[in-house]
Amino acid sequence: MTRVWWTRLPAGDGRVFLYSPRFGCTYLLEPELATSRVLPVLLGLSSRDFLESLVDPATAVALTGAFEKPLVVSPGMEMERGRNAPALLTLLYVFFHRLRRVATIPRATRLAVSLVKVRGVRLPLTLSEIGLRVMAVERSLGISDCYPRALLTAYLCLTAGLRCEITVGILAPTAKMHAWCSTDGVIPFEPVTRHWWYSPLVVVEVAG
Amino acid sequence: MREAVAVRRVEHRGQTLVYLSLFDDELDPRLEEFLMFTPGEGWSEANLAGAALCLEPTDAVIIAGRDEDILVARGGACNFPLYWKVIAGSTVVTTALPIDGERRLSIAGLIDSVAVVSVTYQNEPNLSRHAPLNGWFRCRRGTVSRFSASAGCLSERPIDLADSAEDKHGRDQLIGAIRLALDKFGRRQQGRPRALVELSGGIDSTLAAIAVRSHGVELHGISIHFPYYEFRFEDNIQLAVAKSLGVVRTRRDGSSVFPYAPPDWWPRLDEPATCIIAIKRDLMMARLASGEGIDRVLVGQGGDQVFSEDMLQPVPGPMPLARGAFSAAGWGRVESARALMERFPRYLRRSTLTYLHDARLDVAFKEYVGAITRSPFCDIDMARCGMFWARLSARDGVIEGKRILAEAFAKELPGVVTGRRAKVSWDGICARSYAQHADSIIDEIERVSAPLEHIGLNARWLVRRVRELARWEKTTFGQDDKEVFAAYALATWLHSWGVERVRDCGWGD
Repeated sequence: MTRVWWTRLPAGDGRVFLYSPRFGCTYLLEPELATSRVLPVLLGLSSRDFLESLVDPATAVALTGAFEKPLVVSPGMEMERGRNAPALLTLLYVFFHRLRRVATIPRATRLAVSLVKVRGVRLPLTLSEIGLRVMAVERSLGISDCYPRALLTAYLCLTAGLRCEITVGILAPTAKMHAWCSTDGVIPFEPVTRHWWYSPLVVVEVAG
Repeated sequence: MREAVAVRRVEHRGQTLVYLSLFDDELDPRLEEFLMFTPGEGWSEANLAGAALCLEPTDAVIIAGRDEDILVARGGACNFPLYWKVIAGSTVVTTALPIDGERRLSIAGLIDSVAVVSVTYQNEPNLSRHAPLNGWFRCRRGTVSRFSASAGCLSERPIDLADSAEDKHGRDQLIGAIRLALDKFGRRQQGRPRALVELSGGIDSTLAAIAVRSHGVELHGISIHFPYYEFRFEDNIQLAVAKSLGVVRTRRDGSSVFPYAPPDWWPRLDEPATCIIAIKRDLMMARLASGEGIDRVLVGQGGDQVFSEDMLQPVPGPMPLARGAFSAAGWGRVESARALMERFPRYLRRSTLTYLHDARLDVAFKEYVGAITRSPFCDIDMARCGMFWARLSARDGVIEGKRILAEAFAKELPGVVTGRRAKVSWDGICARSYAQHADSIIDEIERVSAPLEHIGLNARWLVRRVRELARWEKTTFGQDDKEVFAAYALATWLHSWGVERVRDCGWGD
């Protein structure tokens, strides 16, 4: 079950940023268009979930600095080096990465919820275990991308029976976007802690 | 020699050694330390190359020899220009190009100043020897050059810290060396009653402040504040640092000094410099210092290059430039300039220290307002610690960046600095500055469009690109806008020398 909280973010020149979870795109719109009744519906945004401003649900990062810019290598990370990531996790990461137009956040989270139900296994993973698994997948693939990372983290949170939030933010007024998944205010793994640069455009609540 | 550059002459065994530095008050101890390496048999290219590993990176040494040769060692982070030319059978080395006197510009030198933005951190176009004045050449930074009176430059040897002896000690010794290096920086500032410090909230500028304060210098802090989401934590950090250091702080609105904000005064630089885009901000700081009777602005520049980046690795190679930004002839020149740069990969080594800090505005500021920047991370002792750190990290297979600084000054650094998240992205500032200052950038380009096109740039393409940047259709800064900031530096430079039409000066090569 998902709920998509969203906001209109002023760009600073009168125009407004909107993120469409339906199409996985960000739009820079004239204010009249952004505030029209029809457009948000078309973009997959419900008026009852609109908030004047969104607060980043993440306040901390559990595990950081392993791939893009290795700042600190902890004993746990050393252990993960060379370990093969589980095939399903790798497959999901690649799917989310390569087919992001198809695997929009609502679709990907529905897929994750279904997968957890079908597999019927609930793993009592801790936050740092989730982080280490995501990190292992990125290291084994040699890819580090926020979008598949956020979706894979959400899947692992669901597997562990944890509620989580996927946030999509923008470094306004540039076109730089970032996605991150947090549970209870903590991002399990982010190679370089940068989520705080990005103003949230949507926060997707994910629960099994 | 220009007046802003302080000079000392020393005679030894028939040779004259001239030591040059922008830091007048530090000149004597710097010279004294360098003279400790004076060889008994007199200076030669080889022994100057060895001694230059201990030359302060911001300084230079010129030695006129017994055998008619001239030796020049120019530090990697030298903050004043140094050029040479053979005139009537004599090699002339100077800190100022006689642009107004000769007024014959070099197309090769000017296109090189544009082509060089394809290399990350390549501030002064050090990979090229061409100067913007026809017939003049650069004494490269991070290099020992040997000249003959009749044939110009005979040879060049890079001053590469990687050639220095490897330190076999460990982390504790490194921490001790870093503490000594910072203390030496502080001691060198103790003659002055006050200094201005840029309080960014980062570890580097805070350390500069701590070092100087511990030697009795009164500090005045300045913080630049931006009212944007990504900067929301910065003000509190800067305030906490000021409180912790007991520094009075001036807080200025950064949106009034965005990049490209046009200043009320333009310097006449010896060559185009991309750092000109930040002139309004830098000038504001220099004037604030000068108004308080202060001649030094303490900054943390170079800290990232010395401790965060791996000094054993070269900087990334040249990136392609946009073909559309140049005419057919200009593109040919850019390609040959880039090919030339790629032939000298030794100058892409971080260990030559040529990437530490672009302080080319300092000469102009010293002449105009009397205040210049000073960073502990441009000192040779600190640079050697950086090399020690890079080797230690490589030996242990762990990269920890500035953690070593936090460890070395655990007692002195406020917790708010060591616990700071990271640096804030400036991409949003860049986007806003293009939106705010597009008209003035376009004015600068259009005013000198004829000479720009004569040099080989396509002014129409550049104007179109500025508009795209201003509408935020292009927002990958450092990639989408590199031709623009190079052209802006060139355009404002031409304007400052009164070259608005092709016939306003002569043209060579």
